[in-house]
Amino acid sequence: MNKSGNAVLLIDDEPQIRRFLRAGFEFAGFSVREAANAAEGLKSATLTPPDLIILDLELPDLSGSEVLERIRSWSNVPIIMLSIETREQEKVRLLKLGADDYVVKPFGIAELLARGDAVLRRYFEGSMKNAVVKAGALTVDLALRVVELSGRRIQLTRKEYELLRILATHLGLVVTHHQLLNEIWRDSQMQNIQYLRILVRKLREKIEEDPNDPRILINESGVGYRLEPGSDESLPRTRKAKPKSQTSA
Amino acid sequence: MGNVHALWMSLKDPGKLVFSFPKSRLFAADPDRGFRFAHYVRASAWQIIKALALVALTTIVYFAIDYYGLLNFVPVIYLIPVVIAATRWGALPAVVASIAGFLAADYFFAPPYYSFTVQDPQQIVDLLLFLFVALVTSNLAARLKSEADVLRAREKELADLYAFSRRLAACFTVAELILAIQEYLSITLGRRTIVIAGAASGDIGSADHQSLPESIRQEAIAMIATGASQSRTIVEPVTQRVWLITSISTDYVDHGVIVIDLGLGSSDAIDAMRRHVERVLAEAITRLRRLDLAKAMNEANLRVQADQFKEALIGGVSHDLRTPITSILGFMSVLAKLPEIRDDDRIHPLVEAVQDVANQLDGDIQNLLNATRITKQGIHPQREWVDPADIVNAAIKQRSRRLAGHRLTVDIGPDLPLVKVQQTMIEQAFGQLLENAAKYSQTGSTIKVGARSEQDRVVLSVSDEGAGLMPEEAQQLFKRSSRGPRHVANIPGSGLGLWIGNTFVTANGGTLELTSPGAGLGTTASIRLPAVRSETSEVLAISHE
Repeated sequence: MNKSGNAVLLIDDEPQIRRFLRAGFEFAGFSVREAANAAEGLKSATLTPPDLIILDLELPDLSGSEVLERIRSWSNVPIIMLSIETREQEKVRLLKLGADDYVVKPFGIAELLARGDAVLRRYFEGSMKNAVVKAGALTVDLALRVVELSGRRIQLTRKEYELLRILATHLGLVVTHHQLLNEIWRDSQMQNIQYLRILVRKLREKIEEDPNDPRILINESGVGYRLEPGSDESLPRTRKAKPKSQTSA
Repeated sequence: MGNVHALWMSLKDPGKLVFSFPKSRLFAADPDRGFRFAHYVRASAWQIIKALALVALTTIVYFAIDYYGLLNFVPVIYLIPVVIAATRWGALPAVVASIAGFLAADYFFAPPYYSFTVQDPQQIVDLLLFLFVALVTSNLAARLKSEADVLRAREKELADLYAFSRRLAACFTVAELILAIQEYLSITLGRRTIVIAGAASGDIGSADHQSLPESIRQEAIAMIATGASQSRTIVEPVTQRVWLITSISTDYVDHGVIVIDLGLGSSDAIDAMRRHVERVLAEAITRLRRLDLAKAMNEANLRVQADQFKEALIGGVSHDLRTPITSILGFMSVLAKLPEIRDDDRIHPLVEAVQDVANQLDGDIQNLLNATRITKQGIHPQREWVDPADIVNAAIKQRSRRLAGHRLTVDIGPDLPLVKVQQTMIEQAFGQLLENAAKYSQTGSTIKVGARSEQDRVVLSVSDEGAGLMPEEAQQLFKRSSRGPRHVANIPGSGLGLWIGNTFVTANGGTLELTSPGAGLGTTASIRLPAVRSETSEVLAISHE
């Protein structure tokens, strides 16, 4: 839960959506400001820069992606986009334009708050070089390049570590296929995505309790991967349907 | 008015478009030769009488002149009625006038008077000379007249054609145009004309068709049936009348054929008439083509407008319905987070139930939007390499609350090959199979989810212990909006889910199959996707650095 009383700016033209977002963010300890259109939102973001912006993709006066671009031209404040059933290419485009993450409507407040926590963590702690990232039972020491699972040190190949490092520095946030391919292979051609799939599978075999039911290294369909911070008490998620019996090894 | 009515009827039912005109008002070249000769004689008789009257008048004038003894024998005076008859009424009355004049001059004015005998050889020569000149003159004058007549007829024909093309230019519907053609042919040219509509194979049973000679009717229908766009003449074997059959089709539409009775006559006359009719039709068809083109453009415009409307509607539905659902789910998620509610065992399930229903509603709207989009735009998957395990896990995660009441077992085979698909589409399809398994089986029963490799395919499967399928239900499964009659009453659904799922899977090169040992014995649904394993080992080497 947010402890520092961060300010969040909600830019959405639907009053009911702003209302539940306000309730949710205030409950989580944020101070909340609202804007019903792009002009108001841009003005508010400029006059009193917030710590986090929740930006709807469909606004009456300007498109959300246009607003995103304008804010990005002078600020790297964390921005999470809200969109209705966007195509994968559109999500990738938003991330490329500088959105820190996106949430697809309809969504639960817990999901949005988790993303908010993640982007704020990255925004405020990203500069710390000796950060130790924890994701569930996994610990990644970025300074010492040491990876431990439930306290036991595990060996990764160079590319496996590279993949884990990139995801760890974006803990809780989606990283696009494009970005991963670019950083790991210095090559963003999408036909090489099969290399990435296999690499992810290899990494999962080492860091996941059950590689066929991954809880840490999560795939975002058609967009990329996300390293889940793990079960957090502040994010009650109902996981009833998981009495799984896995037979594969 | 009869024609207007026929036109209206044909507009209401274009497949039965039939025009018919009564026999022409201008009774031109018709029935048979004997009749025509009698007609000719009857028309000439009056002119002959008038010619004879002229001769009689000349005789009276001649008597007056002769009475005063002014002239000698001058039979040439009878050239006046001959020339008048020749130029006004043609050869026959002129010849009659010549002979009558010759006889009158001889009888009344050549001595001995009141007798046909002539004494003076000079007068005999004069009389014979007169007859000769009169006959030649009447012939020449008559020929002049007939040439003038031909010229006048040609001029009239041109004027008619001009009027016709102006009339065509004023036609803005096909029905108007066909009416104009018919009027021109039957009224102006005096030809019996019947239009047999094409398009819906023609209405053969119509009374107007029945009035055509059988052989001509057959030929016309054959031309409609073959869609041949030519023009041909046929001689009707019984009456020997010549008929012209021409198709009135353009590149865009077959409007049918037009059948014209060219009548009887010399082959030259028939040919001339045929050429004229064909010229008229050619002009009409040019106009028709322009009308068809305009119509086709109009229809294309309408279609575009309808699509835009539909798009706007989809956009509206998407926004107007999903925004409140987003709010409901949002408020509920906030409520569910509040400690007072989270920890209350009576209220928390209620909040969850609201969330479930809202999610269900959202899924239904999503299906509706997908179905409209598929129908409207088709699907164009963006295929890329995907781990089948990710598909299965994402689909399970999406439907986790729906599956909460069932025992779920997941069996993902080792080292599955990658598949090249648009991940979200297969997820959606597989999610639908999970949804159906939960929907059509008892709470507490087991749902088995599997992913395995099978030759060059990857198979994703869902097996339940539920309602199963009857053979006739299996056949209806993938039809849009089809729902099994066994479940319509007690299990809600739109019948779109499987149709969408099947469409998505097929678009990605896979197959979707549902099998069941029978009603009540459970169902196994499988998605088979093409897999390429060959590259995997190479990829492994690359990733193993």
